[in-house]
Amino acid sequence: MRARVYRRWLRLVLVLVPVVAAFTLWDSYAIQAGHWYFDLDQITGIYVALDVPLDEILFFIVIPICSILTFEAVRSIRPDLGRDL
Amino acid sequence: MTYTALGLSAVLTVVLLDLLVFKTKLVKRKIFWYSYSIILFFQFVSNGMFTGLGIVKYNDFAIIGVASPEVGPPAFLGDGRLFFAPVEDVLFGFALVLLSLSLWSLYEKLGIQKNVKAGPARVSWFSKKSD
Repeated sequence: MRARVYRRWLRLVLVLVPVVAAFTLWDSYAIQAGHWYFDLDQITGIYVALDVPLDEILFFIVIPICSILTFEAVRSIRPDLGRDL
Repeated sequence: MTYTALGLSAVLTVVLLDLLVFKTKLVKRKIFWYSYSIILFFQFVSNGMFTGLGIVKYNDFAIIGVASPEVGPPAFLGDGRLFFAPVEDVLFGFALVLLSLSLWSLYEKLGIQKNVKAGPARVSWFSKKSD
């Protein structure tokens, strides 16, 4: 759809770094406080840091990318709404 | 803090970032709400799988609803659940999406890779006639 998000990779990386950091900290706190837990048969079993599974980190990368792709796709389809930010 | 309290705090924090700190003001714009409504639909689908299949489970002290059962899916609707997921996940998801889009827009305002723009949609019948 010519969203051209991956062509703006630096901007994407600059979004992902703080978002992944903030939500990994929240996730780590929630896991340690027992807010939620995972079915060990249905996750990779790889832990990245602070008791957070790799699966969660991937989630915090994929969802922002999906959001930005959606946002840019809507902007390209409705340029009347998406001009100046 | 409970998941409910943290979810509310996160939404408040990110809305304040969007309005007052980054000044991207996405929550005042149609383009954000159009995009978010699409994202929210797919959140319900994918999160319904994570929670309905019991990949992630919740303890009752953290949420409005009841704990996820040891075996089998939680309530589809009701009991503080929305399509299997705790209603708090809407707050978590909103904060995640708004923070991402607000930062993305902030960098555009700051001129970082600003000149690459989304091209015209290939599906012209999808686009509103230019006005």
